[in-house]
Amino acid sequence: MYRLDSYFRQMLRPYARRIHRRLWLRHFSVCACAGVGAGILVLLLSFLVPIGSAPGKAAALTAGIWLVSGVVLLFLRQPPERTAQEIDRCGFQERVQTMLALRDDPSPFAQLQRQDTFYALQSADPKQCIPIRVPRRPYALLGAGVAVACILALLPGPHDDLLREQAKIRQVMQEQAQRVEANLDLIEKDSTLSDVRKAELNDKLRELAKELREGKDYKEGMKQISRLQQELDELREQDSRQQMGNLKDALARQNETKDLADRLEGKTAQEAAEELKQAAEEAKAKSEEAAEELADALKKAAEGLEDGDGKDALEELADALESGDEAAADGALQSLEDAMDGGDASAAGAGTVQLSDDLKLAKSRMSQLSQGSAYTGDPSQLAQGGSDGQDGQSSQAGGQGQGQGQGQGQGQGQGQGQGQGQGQGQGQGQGQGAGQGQGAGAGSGALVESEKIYDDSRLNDEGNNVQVQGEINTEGPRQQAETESGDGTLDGYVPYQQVVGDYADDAVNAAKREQLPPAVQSWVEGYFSALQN
Amino acid sequence: MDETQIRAFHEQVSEIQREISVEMVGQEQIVRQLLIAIICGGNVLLEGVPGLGKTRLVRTLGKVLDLQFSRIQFTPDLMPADVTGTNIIVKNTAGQNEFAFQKGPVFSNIVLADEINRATPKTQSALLEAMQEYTVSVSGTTYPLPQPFFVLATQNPMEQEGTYPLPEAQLDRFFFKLRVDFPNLSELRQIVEMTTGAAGREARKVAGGDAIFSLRRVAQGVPIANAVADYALRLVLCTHADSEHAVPVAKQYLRFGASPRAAQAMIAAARCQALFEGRYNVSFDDVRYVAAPVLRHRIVCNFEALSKGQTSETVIARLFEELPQAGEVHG
Repeated sequence: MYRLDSYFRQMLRPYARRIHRRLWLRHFSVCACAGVGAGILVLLLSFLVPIGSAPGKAAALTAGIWLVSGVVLLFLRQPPERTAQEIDRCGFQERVQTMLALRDDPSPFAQLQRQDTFYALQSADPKQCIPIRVPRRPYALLGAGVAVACILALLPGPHDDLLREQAKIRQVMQEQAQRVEANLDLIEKDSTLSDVRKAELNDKLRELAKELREGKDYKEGMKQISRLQQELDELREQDSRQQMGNLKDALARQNETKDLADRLEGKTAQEAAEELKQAAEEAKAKSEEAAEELADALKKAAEGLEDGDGKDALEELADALESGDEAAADGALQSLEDAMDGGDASAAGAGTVQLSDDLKLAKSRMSQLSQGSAYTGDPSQLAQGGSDGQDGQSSQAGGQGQGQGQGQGQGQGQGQGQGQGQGQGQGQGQGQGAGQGQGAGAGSGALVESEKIYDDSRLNDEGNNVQVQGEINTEGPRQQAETESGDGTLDGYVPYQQVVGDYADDAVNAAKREQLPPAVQSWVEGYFSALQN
Repeated sequence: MDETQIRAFHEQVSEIQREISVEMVGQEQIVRQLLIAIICGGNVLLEGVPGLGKTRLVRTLGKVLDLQFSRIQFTPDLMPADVTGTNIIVKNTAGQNEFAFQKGPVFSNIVLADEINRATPKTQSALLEAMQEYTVSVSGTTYPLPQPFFVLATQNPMEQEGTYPLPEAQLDRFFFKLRVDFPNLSELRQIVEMTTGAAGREARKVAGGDAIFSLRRVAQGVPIANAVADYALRLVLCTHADSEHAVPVAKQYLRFGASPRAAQAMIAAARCQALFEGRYNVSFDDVRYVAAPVLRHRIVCNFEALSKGQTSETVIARLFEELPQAGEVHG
């Protein structure tokens, strides 16, 4: 009896191998076409939505599908019955599959049949029986697909500029992440912070750095920076209140300055400095003795303060009063105001100050880069204007597509509200606050933080309620932002007359680039022309 | 059954074919299919115009196989008793009258039912029991027929007037229906030379009834792969228009499909055909080779087929095209 298994394998191996190769070629052609199809799809998609390195991704996807399918197909074996059927199709008249079915049959017929099959297999040439031909149609299709993909990859994409800008933003976000991380050590060394506060700040910094480093969401990064800034401001405000409380208590302990202490109740550092200045002037006006008494009282009060800039400033003020040096007194009052305000290193700690500066820098850098770029990955738009740089309003309006935005502003004293946004919309302002409603947001749903601008013609005027309202239709979301009071400084703000021309040009170009209807383009142009005039 | 018997099959049938060819010119396929049917124990319906050698073929077969041969010329006035035999009054050795069964021509190994469609259905049905049960019942007594027993019937497709077409039940009992075609020029020349010239040698006996049984046992052992057997069975099933295996041509043109006897006949005949080819397994080609003679008298075309000139032959040819082989790989 023939040892079927070994003979079977030996005899059928060359045939089975060729069948496997043929199958591999056939199946791989299909998979390869699918891979090229996927690559083409990616390239086509890159014309519709911005996809960074689309040709590279398409090539990687195609190569991946080819590689995976090629390897998987290498290990893909069909059942022996199927192989036997395929061999039989080469003219073996179903000998092989019958032999396979009779492999354990010891009958004379089965033996003769096996013998007959072996002779037939031996006398045939596997190469002639099973020719390996490259299937023309799928591979021709594959070649055509590769050619199409190459052409698509070479064509300039409509989103190339945007992608470059996004890459730049990501790079800046990375840099800012490094900058933020560098503050970790400073926070650790800051002796004015408690351990809990340090840990909290460090966690937030790490989270912010991670967010920035991953570069997933520009808007979220900006929000986190703002949040962290706000927390630092709160921290500084707490310190300021603490300093003011200490000063008030120290003054209250002296009979001569008890009244002064009462007057400082609820006052800001600046107001406190004004009160002290007024008290000094009153004492001087009264008599030299009164001034000396006040100076002594201030010295004693300073002794009751903890070591620091506040104490030094108060002592300097007392000395200046004694000596009658008005310039030194003004300087001392300014130092005292600074110390009480929590804005210097002595009050809030070097780490937090440095961090605050770095955050401002990071935010500014990111804002500059994001100007005018359509960040279409995020549907919302962030417009920020007229914040703490001026007494007035800070408004934030966002929207996408058709919507309705509304801002309210309230100025105090020299209040000057100003809101600024980009996009199309109808705004209506009332009072002195200037605002531009953000009715439609950016057409592309861009995320933009505006440049901080103001209208210098409206400075030093009475603050009034400001209502900014934009409306395209009634379907959109409604957003409302409360304005806040600022400290009245104009650091980082640009008069809008200087930039409105650039804004107008950008808006008109953007309208043209977005292929808006001519009527809308002229509307945009008209709107910005009106602003310039 | 041993290897010697198996190997001897091919030699024996080759010898039978050779000997038949001494008296039969051409018709090799008909001879082969006739032998396949005989080896498988089936009856054959030969259809062809007169003068093609149908009767001569059967007679030669009887000679070569050394089997008893009888010929019945079917006519409209032929009675069943003329076929099966009847009880007649005879005097016994004691001089008394008694009924004795007088065997009819059906009591033979090979019965040639010549022009079977000319007899009445009653007479035709007299053959039913003999063909299926190998017995004859007369006056309540059943008589066994000699073995092996084959009915080789002929019918003329041309002269249909005054004929009685065989009913489907009787047709189904024929293992094969063979169409005897007109000989080509060279064959016709040989026939003329053989029959009008000097008499040549006659066919001689090369096998007997036992040899037929031996060949049958060998043929029954031929292995058949599942895929091939399935193909044969699907070929039968696909002729039924309401079957899930029905192919479009069957749905369009067939009124009745083949019976399970067709499946039996197809597998048995395919096994035999494989041995005729010198192979020890059945192939798809073997199935296709025997499918036409097995199916052509078992399928009934509908009116649409007849109106469009479709015959069972053309329908069977399209069945082959439309029914895929098992594991058929395209490309």
